[in-house]
Amino acid sequence: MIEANGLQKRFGDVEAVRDVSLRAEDGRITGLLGPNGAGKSTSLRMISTAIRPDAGQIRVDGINVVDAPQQARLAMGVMPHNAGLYPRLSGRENIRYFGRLNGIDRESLDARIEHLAERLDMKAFVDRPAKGYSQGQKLKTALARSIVHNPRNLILDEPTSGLDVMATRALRDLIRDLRQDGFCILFSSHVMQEVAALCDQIVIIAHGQVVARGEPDQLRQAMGSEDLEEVFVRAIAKAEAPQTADAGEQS
Amino acid sequence: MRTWIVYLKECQDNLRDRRTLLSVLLFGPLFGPILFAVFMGTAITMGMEEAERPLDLPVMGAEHAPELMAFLAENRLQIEDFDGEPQKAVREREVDFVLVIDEDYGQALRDGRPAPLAFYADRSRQRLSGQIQRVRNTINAWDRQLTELRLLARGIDGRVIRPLQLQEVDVSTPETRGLMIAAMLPYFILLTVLMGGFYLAIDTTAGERERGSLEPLLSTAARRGEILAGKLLATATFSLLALAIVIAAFSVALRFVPMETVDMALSLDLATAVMLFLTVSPFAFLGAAVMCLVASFTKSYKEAQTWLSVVMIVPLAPMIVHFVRPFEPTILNLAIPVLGQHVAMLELLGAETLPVLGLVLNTGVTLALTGVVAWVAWLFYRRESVLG
Repeated sequence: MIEANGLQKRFGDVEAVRDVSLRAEDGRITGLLGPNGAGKSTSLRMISTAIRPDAGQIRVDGINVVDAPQQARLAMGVMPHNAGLYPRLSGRENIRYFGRLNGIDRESLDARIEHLAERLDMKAFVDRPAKGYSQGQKLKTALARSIVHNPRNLILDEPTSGLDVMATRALRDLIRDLRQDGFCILFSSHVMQEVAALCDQIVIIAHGQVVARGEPDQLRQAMGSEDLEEVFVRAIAKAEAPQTADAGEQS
Repeated sequence: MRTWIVYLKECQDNLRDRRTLLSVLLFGPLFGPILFAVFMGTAITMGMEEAERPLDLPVMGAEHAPELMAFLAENRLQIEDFDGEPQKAVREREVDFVLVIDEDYGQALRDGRPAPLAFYADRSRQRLSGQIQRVRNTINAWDRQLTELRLLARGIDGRVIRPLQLQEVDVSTPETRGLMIAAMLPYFILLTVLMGGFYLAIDTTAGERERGSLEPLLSTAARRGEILAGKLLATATFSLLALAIVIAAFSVALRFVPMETVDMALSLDLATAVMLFLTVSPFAFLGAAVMCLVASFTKSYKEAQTWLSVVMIVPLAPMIVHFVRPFEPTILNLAIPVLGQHVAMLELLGAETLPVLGLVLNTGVTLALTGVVAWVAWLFYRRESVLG
């Protein structure tokens, strides 16, 4: 379970995240939706301990990530939007490297990788250098690498950007499978359809703030539209409205 | 422990990279010594041959000066008859040079007037400078001989025209003379050390960021310091590997240079080689730390390559200073990183002994500086901008 409260982050003059709170439950897929530059990646990076929030608290399975980052990292798997594999290493070596860094001993690591390769249907390519992998193969390897240490939480930053249809489909199936296993899955996207197709819970952010949240159906009702894309656009428009009000243009 | 895991992974990963391997094992370490051996060998052999080889000398009007011709021939200058316009012939490179004996030569000599003769040569032609010098020296020798004969004929001791007799005593040993040539060696070696770690420093920092693997790596349980230390050690290891290979290559290459023919000696026995390795190895760590730090700041592989090329100039600095103002192996000089290694290498190659305190300081100061640079890199790794 991932809980974030009142996150704030500024880079120099840019206020990347102004107020983001979210709660991602175990066994559910939570989508962080927003246009480019809304603060999705920054929020996820704060959760994954890559950067420190200026204000706010983050708890992953009850662990405060600012106070105990190392412990928190062991409870999370993080997958960046490009797979970020080492091209000269084989898939197995890529996974083993991260497993070792996460403190798994050799014997259980080999068994674990075997299990993941079976589970994600990677047997055919896992011992080839990652250089020649297809998008789908890269994705599976990166996913296996991020969950090799058996975390309960999985964070995916724009996992489908740049993927072809087949790879996107494969990833969706994998994510659903992981939900079945009870994973808490938090992923970001700027594509409405994708989030609608996959998520149990949606958090829409714009300009570094949460502008709407809820289950897909709840959102449709609240925004008075059947079309989720319309919901998305209206939610973002609502976020922009107060800013124009500041400029004195709205009654 | 995690440092060790990172270290092993980086070594394994980069051993599979052909570019890294070529630069560590081949281009860097072997290119220098081979170039050195071939260049030095050829220069020495050619110099020797040049001095002993009979030289063809085109002469115009040889019949006016039979004694001079005989003297020239005695000194291995083969007279060739030349006919034509000497200035034009030399300028258009039909011949390398021409000696022209004036018709008046014989008469002038008999009258005791300066006998006219002219030597046409193109002094802008570097290749000929040795040969031109040889012809001129031989004619000067004949000039001196005639002077002494004339003085003798007038009952005067030839020594009157030589009030001074300067004797130069060269106290250098063959080893130290070899050093004049070896001044390039430390530069080659230091450069090779940097080259050895060059691609690793880029691949493990800027490359990691460009591939997008840095963020997932930093999200593992490994601390940033552990990750950085592993990368640094891997870079230093490749530098040390390159250092070992370049020293071995030089010790082989130097055997093919016929130093003794020019009364110089330059050799690298096993003990010297080991001393060289130990003396220079702290520099490998310093180089690794500096390169990792510089590459950490860059955004891409290309940018890192550009900036690291600037770092490659560092080993050149002591050599340039050395040419302008040669330094002695004082303790102070030895204590300065890079300069110290340069001086120490020169002394070791010259079979001189080094002050132990100097060596200890050299190693200590270099490693301390390495620590400082690594610490700065660590500070940078802890910052958020490391993610790019």
